[in-house]
Amino acid sequence: MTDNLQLNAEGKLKHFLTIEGLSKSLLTEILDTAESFAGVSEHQVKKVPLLRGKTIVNLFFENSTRTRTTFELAATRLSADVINMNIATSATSKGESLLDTIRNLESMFVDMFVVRHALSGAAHFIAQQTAPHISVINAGDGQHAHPTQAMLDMFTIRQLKPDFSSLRVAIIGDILHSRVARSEIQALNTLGAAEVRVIAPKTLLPAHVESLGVSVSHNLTEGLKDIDVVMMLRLQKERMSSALLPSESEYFKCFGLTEEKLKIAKPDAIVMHPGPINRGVEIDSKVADGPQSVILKQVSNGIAVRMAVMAMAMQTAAPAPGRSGGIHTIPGERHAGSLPASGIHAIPGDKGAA
Amino acid sequence: MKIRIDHGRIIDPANGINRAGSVYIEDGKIVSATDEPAGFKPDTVIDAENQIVCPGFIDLSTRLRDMGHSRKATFKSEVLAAASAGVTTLCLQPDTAPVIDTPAVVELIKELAEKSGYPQIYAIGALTQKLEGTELSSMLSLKQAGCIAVGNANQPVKNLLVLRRAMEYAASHDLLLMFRSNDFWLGNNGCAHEGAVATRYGLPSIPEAAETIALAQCLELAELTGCRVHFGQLSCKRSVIKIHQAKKYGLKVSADVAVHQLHLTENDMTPFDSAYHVLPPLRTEEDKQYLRQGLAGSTINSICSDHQPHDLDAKLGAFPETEPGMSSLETLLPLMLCW
Repeated sequence: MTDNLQLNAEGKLKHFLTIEGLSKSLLTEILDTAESFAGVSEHQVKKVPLLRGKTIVNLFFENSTRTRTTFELAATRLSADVINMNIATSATSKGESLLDTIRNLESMFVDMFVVRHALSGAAHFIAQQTAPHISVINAGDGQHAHPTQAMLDMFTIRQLKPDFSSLRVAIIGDILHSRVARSEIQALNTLGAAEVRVIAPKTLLPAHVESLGVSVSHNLTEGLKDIDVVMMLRLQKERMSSALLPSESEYFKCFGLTEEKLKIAKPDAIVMHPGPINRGVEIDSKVADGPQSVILKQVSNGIAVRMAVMAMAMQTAAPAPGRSGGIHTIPGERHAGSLPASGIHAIPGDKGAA
Repeated sequence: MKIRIDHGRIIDPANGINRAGSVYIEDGKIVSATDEPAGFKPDTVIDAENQIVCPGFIDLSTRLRDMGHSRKATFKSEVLAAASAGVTTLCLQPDTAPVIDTPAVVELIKELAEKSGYPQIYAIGALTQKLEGTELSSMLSLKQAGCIAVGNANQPVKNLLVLRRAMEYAASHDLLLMFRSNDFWLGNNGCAHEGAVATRYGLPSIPEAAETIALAQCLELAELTGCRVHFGQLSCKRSVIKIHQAKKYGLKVSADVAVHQLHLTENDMTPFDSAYHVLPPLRTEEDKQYLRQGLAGSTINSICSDHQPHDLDAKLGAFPETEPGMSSLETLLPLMLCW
């Protein structure tokens, strides 16, 4: 089942809701575009005018620090106006209120929603219901997808190990409840990774997990053999109270990543984690802060990747007739009309930037 | 008002009729499907050449929403849907608001049925008070008020001792139990079949075992208590096998399947389209084939609509928070004819 909802008639990205249904070339385009933005954060003026005059709403129905902050930074670096909305949600909140929230914000001439919600499918629902000129970026919906996290991880991997076809990747931990895992698996398979292996006890694996295109192991020491990339997942404390695991200490004993266990993987293996880390639960501090860890690199890369996705989606979401790419032009300004564009941050008068 | 329907193929399983002929109707009732009654002078003659003529259908599981949820539907709106599909008798599940657990509510339903001009709406009484699964309802009074059976709707019975007692009590009054098999705990607040599709979309899921374990427990209690049981809305292969075995063994059980389960599987669900949010969930192709075979081989005795009309808002939202159920009375007949 492909998800054409997120592509426009020309096959360009309009919404970014899930990795599923997106082609390898589109994912590569996101990574290439992100690369062209990677330098922006290091410039004196950390801005490009791509989305000047656009209004982006960070609509977070679930708490987040990292994701919301990097989305906000990404939007401001693209010169958009950003509104942050943290809407405490409860299990009893109704679809009407979600829809009403969207309708109200639409009336305020918003151009893009960045949505995080506790329920799977919420971003799809908003994309289906919202006005056609608005783009929706999924910043995590329930247990379904977290596509920008997957892409920033692909970006980080590609920086260090450019050939996906030779990579064996292990994803370790709570696959069942993880939207990150689902998106990572889809991205890795689309980009042609040699193997994606999930390692977890049966209680933390969804039914028919192999149908996602992964091999399965219930044993960390066996599962880490020949692995190039180790992806750890956060273990939520509530998994103990819902009888999925006996205790944190037993989990750490079986599935916690220690220096010793990491030695089983390839010597140049990298260690990733979407954060926030539970030190001593799924990962030992020595590994998290060790030389093979790229966890903080992931965070920095989040900005460039989110800039890329936002810029690409806005470009196709608001096609203004007669302009290449639909990015609005401000008289007297010069900027590239299409992406990726390495010269994109050449702002007149900002000579230091180029 | 007298009507004669000519040249149709009459199919009436209850009376073992399957042949061409005429049907004679007087004041809304069939008076003969064989010989012309003496002195019958029709006001209208309908030519049913190349058509099938059947008596009105009986739907074993319907929700009309009136009382409590009339913004979704009313008796008046739904009986028109039923009539258009040839359904002339409706069995109303007890999870109305208020729950059908007192004779007064049964009387109210009769009154609403009369007012809607559709008298053949029969109430299924609640098995337990308020369907809470803890205390027995006044089943005899419900029966005397007109309930045709007792049932648990979708609600769990708190423990097997309560279910045993309820079944013993129902059996004492020769009441049929219409049981919906679903282990609440194994269901784990799921909204989709535990399979590849739910895994891909990250949807909380319900395994077949939630149905089959509850069904197996109820079958054991049927033997223990002698209660007649009708299992409603089967959804999976292993349920069909269990019912088949139970019948072979000699238990007094019957079963039905919701019409959409004969046509749709998890693979038909377009991503997050809440129209496909039903309970029990749409399962696999293999399950669908077994349900069809079960029907053809009479393990499953009937097809029901499991009609659950909703207002628009109930289906607007992220998939897990939308309300389950399809509006399916109008499509019952066409879908029965095309499998």
